[in-house]
Amino acid sequence: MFRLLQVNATDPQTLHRELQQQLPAPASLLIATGNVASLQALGGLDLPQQFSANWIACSSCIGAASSFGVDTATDRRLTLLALTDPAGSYGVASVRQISGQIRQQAADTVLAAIAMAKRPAEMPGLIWCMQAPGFEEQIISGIQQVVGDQVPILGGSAADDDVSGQWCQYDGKTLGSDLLVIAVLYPTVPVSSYFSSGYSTGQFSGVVTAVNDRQIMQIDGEPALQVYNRWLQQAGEVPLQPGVVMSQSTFHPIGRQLSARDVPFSLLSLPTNAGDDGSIRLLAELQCGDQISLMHGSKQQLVRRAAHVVQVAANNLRLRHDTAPAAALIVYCAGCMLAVRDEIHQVQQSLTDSLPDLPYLVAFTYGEQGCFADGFNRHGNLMISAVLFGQTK
Amino acid sequence: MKNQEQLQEKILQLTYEKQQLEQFRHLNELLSHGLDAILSSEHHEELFSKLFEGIIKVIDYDAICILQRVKDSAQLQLLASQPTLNAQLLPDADALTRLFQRDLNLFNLPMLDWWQQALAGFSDGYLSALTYPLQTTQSSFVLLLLSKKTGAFSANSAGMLRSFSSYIASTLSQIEKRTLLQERDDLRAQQHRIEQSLLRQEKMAAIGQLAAGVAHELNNPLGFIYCNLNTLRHYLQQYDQFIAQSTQRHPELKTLYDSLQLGYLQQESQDLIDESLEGARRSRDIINNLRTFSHPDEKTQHDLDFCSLLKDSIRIAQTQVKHNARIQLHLPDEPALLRGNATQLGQVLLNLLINANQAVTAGKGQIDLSLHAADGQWILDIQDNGCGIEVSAQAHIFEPFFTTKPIGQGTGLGLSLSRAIAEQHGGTLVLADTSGAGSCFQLRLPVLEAR
Repeated sequence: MFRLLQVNATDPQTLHRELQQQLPAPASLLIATGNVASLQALGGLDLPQQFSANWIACSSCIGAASSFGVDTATDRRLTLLALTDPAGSYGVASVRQISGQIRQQAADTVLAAIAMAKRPAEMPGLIWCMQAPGFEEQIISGIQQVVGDQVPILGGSAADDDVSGQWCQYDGKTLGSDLLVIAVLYPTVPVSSYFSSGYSTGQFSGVVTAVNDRQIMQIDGEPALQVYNRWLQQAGEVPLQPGVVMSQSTFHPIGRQLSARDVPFSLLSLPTNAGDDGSIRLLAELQCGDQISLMHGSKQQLVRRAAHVVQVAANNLRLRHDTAPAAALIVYCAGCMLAVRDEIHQVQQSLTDSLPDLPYLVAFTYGEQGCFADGFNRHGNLMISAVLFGQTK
Repeated sequence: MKNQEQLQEKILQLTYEKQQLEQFRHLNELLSHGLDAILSSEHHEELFSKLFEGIIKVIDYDAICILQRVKDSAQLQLLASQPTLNAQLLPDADALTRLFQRDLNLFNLPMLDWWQQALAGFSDGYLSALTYPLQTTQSSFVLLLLSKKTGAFSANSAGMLRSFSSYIASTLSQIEKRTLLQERDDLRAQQHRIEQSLLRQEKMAAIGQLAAGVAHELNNPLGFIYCNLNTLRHYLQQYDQFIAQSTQRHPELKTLYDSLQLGYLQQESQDLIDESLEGARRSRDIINNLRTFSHPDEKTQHDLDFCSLLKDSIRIAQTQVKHNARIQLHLPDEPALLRGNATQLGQVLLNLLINANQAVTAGKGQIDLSLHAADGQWILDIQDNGCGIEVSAQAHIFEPFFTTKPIGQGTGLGLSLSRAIAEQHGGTLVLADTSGAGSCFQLRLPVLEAR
């Protein structure tokens, strides 16, 4: 039912030929990822529908990881997880994102995907989305406007290699840089997921007092950058200078304090830019009044975290459905990946150890969506999410 | 710091896993609750009510119901619901085939055409539904949970319901088993009643045959007894005439006449013969009644006016009734035409009137006869204000030879004969009502069809 393919994506023709060789019969759903250069080949792919009526793909920072290994920036290949499940139902729909209309666009798109799956008004087992970064909270809100808040929404935001905006998405027809692609899954096997970060909450915290979408202007009434830098200095770290700060802030993101059944946890936001005006731009939204903290992470935590997330999801699969995993889809924050780039093979090996002989696909993304421990779907940064498909009974 | 992070993450992980385990606890509670419901509920309503109470502890719903499609039928029944849903708004089962095929988790009912066409009225106000089909040997069922929220039911809820469904199916099977056992008991009771009825009919047939034989055997000797007694009375009248003329012409014989008390003997002989004739007449009536009961004569039928028949019968009965009770007659304005045998029907009416008269208190009786037409039948209610019929006697009053009258005053054939005549005319005779305030017999006879 699950098959992992790795195909040469040097050019569309090679890609087509290799897909024909490796995928003789159409899949119910094809989920693909690879670096930007590799994903570009999909734009010229002839008759993608012969491989599946339902494609969902997005670019991954540097490349993908999978049970086959880890891509490098120079690799030109795509990794695809093919689901063949004739008794299940799958549908994909997409839209070009328009700022200010995202919520309604997401609502319309998930309805179109459900219509494609020919399951009108029927709750999907899982909603998987891949989109350009920027509007993830509104996308989740739009989807939930249609289907309610009881269905797990997971996915990742397309990434490029250098945050230059070259990320791309693919829906089986169109390759774009601003697409929202939504897949609805009605699989015949059980599904389990887990969504977590590898960070701990530090002792420094404050309340957001001025914010503009993803840009924090003030914390506790002071310029945000000033407060953040003070926290860093007190923690023994180097303060940030105005400019791109994503790689410097990876181990010290901002955590929004939440709680799941009285157990506190943090939803992470990664600072990407420090403004001359003392603001901090993030990859996730905060609201005025949000309680935030300086978070701490380490390479060791990030290296072992992915396997841990998979193990929790596998435990859940065993507990709830009395089955073992058959395949996995993993979204790993690109920022985290860059921070542990030298150790990324250890991450891949730990995943292989957790999913022995099983196909799994990892995308490195600029934003992760998942269902948190409190049961709510959220968008976060520096997160790791895993979807595990159970075995056919 | 590292330890703190690990600890915090471990807590989150354990919290998440605890959530999963709590679902098992909920499921166990649900099963335990269901078991308790089965063991402690005497009625289906109570059982379902308890099951629903158990389910709402683990799945948040606004309404719940169980729909049943009876085997080999398109009929859909609302077996139970909470709160009460309107079963009148349910469509045929054929319109809901999808619900009987597989479980569905529907997040927005108004956008579903087939649901709106079939169940818009029934599920009005509800936006999402969780359904699960159940099958037993006798029927197909659907467990239906409704919510006023969009997308109210999670995959976990659906899984929970799935886990519990086999239990609910067992419960439904148990209920079916109970119903079948009840039906079996009812059928056995019915079979017993039919057997008893057949026995009674056989007994009555035997009595009828016996009565016919006895009547035939007695009729001839009774005939010549009756005939001879009449002849003897005639002879005695001759003797009386001779004695009267002889004593008139020969006064000396008067002394002998007196000494022999011939006057007394003449009168006594006359009385003896009259009494014997009366006895013979009664015996003949009894025999005629027996013959009629055992084989109601197929006597000629004519078009009759029920009103006239009633008036004639009352006129005859008045000789006995007038000192005892007052008869009130309520008749339709038009003639009440029917086809029948006037003699036989007159006998029925006379029987009923005499019975009513015997039930009332002397001088205070009231007998109301009311005739009207309904459903192609003339319906005559004969209501008295008498003492009523004992409960123990009610089941037997139409049996032959059953009587509550003193020995010698009734043959016990009146009502059984009357019922036989009524049925022979395509009608019925029943005891409609009886109490300490009186009884009401109802005679129904077919209205004469226009030709």
